[in-house]
Amino acid sequence: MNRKFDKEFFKKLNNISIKLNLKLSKGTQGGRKSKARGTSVEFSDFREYVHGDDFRRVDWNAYGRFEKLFVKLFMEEREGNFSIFIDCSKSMDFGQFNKGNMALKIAASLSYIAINNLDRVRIGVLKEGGTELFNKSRGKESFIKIIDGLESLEFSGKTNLKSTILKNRFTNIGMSILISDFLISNGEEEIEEIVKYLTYKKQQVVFIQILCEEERNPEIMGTKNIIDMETKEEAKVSITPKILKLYKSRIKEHEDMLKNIVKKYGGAFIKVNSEEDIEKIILTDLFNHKLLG
Amino acid sequence: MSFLNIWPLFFLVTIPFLILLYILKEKSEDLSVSSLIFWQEIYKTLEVNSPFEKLKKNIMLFLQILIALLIILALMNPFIRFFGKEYTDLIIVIDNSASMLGINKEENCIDRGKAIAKEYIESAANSTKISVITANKDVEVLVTASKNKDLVKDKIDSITKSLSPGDLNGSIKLVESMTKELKNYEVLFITDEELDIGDINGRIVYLDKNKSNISIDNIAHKIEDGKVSIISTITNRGNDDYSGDFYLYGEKELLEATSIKLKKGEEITLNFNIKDTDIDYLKGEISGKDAILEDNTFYHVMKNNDDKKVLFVSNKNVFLEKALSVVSKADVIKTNDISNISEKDRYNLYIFDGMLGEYMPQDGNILIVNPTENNLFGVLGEQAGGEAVVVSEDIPKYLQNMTFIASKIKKTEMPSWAKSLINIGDKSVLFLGKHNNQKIAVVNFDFHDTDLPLKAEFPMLIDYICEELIDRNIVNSNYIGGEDIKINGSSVYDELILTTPSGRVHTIENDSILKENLELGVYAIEDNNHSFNEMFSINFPSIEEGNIMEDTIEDLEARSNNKGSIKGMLNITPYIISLIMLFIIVEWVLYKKGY
Repeated sequence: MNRKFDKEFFKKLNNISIKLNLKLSKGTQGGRKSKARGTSVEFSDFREYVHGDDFRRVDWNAYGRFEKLFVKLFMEEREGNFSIFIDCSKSMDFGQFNKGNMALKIAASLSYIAINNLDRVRIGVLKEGGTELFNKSRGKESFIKIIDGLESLEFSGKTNLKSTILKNRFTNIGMSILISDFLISNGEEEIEEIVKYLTYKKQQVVFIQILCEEERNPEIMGTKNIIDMETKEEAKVSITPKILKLYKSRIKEHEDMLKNIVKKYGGAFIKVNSEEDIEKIILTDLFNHKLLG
Repeated sequence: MSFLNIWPLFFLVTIPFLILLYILKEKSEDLSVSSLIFWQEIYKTLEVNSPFEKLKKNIMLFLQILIALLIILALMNPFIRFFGKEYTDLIIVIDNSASMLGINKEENCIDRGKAIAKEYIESAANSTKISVITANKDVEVLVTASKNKDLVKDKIDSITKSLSPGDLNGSIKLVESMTKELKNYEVLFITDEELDIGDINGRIVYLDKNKSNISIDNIAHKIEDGKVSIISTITNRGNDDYSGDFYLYGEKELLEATSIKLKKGEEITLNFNIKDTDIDYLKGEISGKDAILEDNTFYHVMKNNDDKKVLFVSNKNVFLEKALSVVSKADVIKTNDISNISEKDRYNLYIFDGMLGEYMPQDGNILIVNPTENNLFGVLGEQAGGEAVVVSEDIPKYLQNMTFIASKIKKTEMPSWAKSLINIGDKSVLFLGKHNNQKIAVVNFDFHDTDLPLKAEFPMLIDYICEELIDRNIVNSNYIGGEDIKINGSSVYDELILTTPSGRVHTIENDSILKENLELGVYAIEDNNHSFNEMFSINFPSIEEGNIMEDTIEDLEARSNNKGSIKGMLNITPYIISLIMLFIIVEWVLYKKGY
């Protein structure tokens, strides 16, 4: 069986020792510094003792020097909630360097990073019927589950991104990462709806668009009967250099549209080529968008 | 714009095929993509922009159709008339005299003239009626008022090189009479000699030749005391001085060679003496190349002097005997007994004087004097004579006024095949005709009964009669181009075999005149049994045709009424071909760009 996650992948993954940037103030205790002061071992500040403070936190050495009661404040470490949504429509199963494979690799990588950081990761598989969630747990052993889950994924059918995302419930603040090619007709409204909803649900929105080289720079010419592999629709197009130029500019417009909408709501938009190296994507693209640190 | 060819329009049928091929090629292959959304959007945009975008989509097809149309157009040889009006009648007069064999660089004048004529015909409107005339010694109308350009061009192609002297002046009268009734005509004269066309609405195309020309005008010989004296005349007819060599060959063997120098217009006579008299022909040759190569060689046939055999059967007719002795080149054998004639013996002429036997020769010609009963014509006895006068114009002028008195004559019935030459009253006393391929002359009196032998004209009359009856050589020995070459074959020969200088062998009929496809050089004639062999030479008429014009062509054209180009058209085919090349390049570029 041709495994999607090979030895090489894990080797690269091991080299990545970074964290996802997510500022939290709520949530259960975890490995992530939150804005709140809490009970971790990491010192944060002093303040005068007030009635009701935990005696155990009084700094007796300070009391000896100043004869005043000071309480030591520590960073509260809370867990991050990461929702990684993978578009599993048929259109993702395309390209010499398969877009779906890249989506899975990115999802796996981000899961690994998050789990390593004691964050909670849930994987949402966006399918024709709705979102299929797996691994709501945390801890390193859950990574195995994630990998197994991702391995078994199949890209098929049509997916309505908006309706499937909107069906998801978010209880905590977190980061929602949507990995898709975002090839949606009349996409602007739909995308904005998705971003709006996620933002409303206190999600930091990250859109990762994966396109393959065949989509970005198609090298086709002449009259073709183009078939949409997802919808099976057909169109006869005489492809000329002029049309190719129009196509490329349209791709660029589409990217800009996605980027603008996501940015408008404080999110991040990352475009990824399916033939790119996962290491480069994680260490360069995500870093540049300050998703990692 | 006019077209020279219409037939390429046939290729228009290829255009639908081209479109069909394009449609077939349009059968697109399937291509799976992740999403159609962008393609559909673009397609919609393009449809909004149609029909221009549709045109762009099919730009290769349009280019290919355009190229195909342009190729068809180029094949149609389109041209634009620049000046001159279209004439309803066009007469082309081509000088076909021997001088047109002259060359300029590599091409001779006649070929250039033909090419110019064809080009001019092509430029004429399709409705123009074209006539073509060639002129040398004779003026010949090849085509009269034809609108069929192909036919006219074929006729022009059929014009062969002529060795005949002459010029276009002889054609002017014909052209004048042809154009008398025409209002809208043009005459194109193509010549290499100066020409005055008077009031004829015409253009003269002068064909230039190389400026130097040297010619051998004559070679002659005389045999005396077993030696041959040869003279040759050579003239410099060009505009340059000449210095070179003259070679004299006996058949193919070089006999003499000498250097000669001739200034412009100078003539030289060379004398040679050779011992060998057994040479069929002499050949003179001048070294170097000039305008007319044909007159650099001269052939002179030395032989063909065989005497003709005449059998004279008479009972001592001294008058006739004496008269026959002066008949040139006749070997007269006399006998007084008709029974001496053997059927095996053959003579060119049989003369029966007062005696006719049962035997009548079946070959050779016959002169019967004072006839007796025979099976050729009836002899009805004798009758009284009178004054004899010449009644036929065939008799030479110097004999026309001859009269003589005959005391008695034979009463004969003149056969239908004969024609009377001399009459006494209405009775013919000398008639001549051809019967069963034999020429037969009959003198209806005895010379002793007349005063004719006393007349000065008597030997001349006998010589004339013999001249008519003796088949002399089949041809003369030496001819100049343009002279009639009459084949005077004896009645014995129906067909003769002629071998041309280039080695072509064909049969010719007796009594014919050689006219067409003549070559310069030595011809041989023989009969089927090879019983005789005669030669004759044809040489270039250098005296009439060898001179090179002193005036330059520019001078002549300036003096003539045509100062412009004769081609009143601009051939736009090269421009169309350039355009085709350009479109092919554009198509290549577009193809490379992926259209």
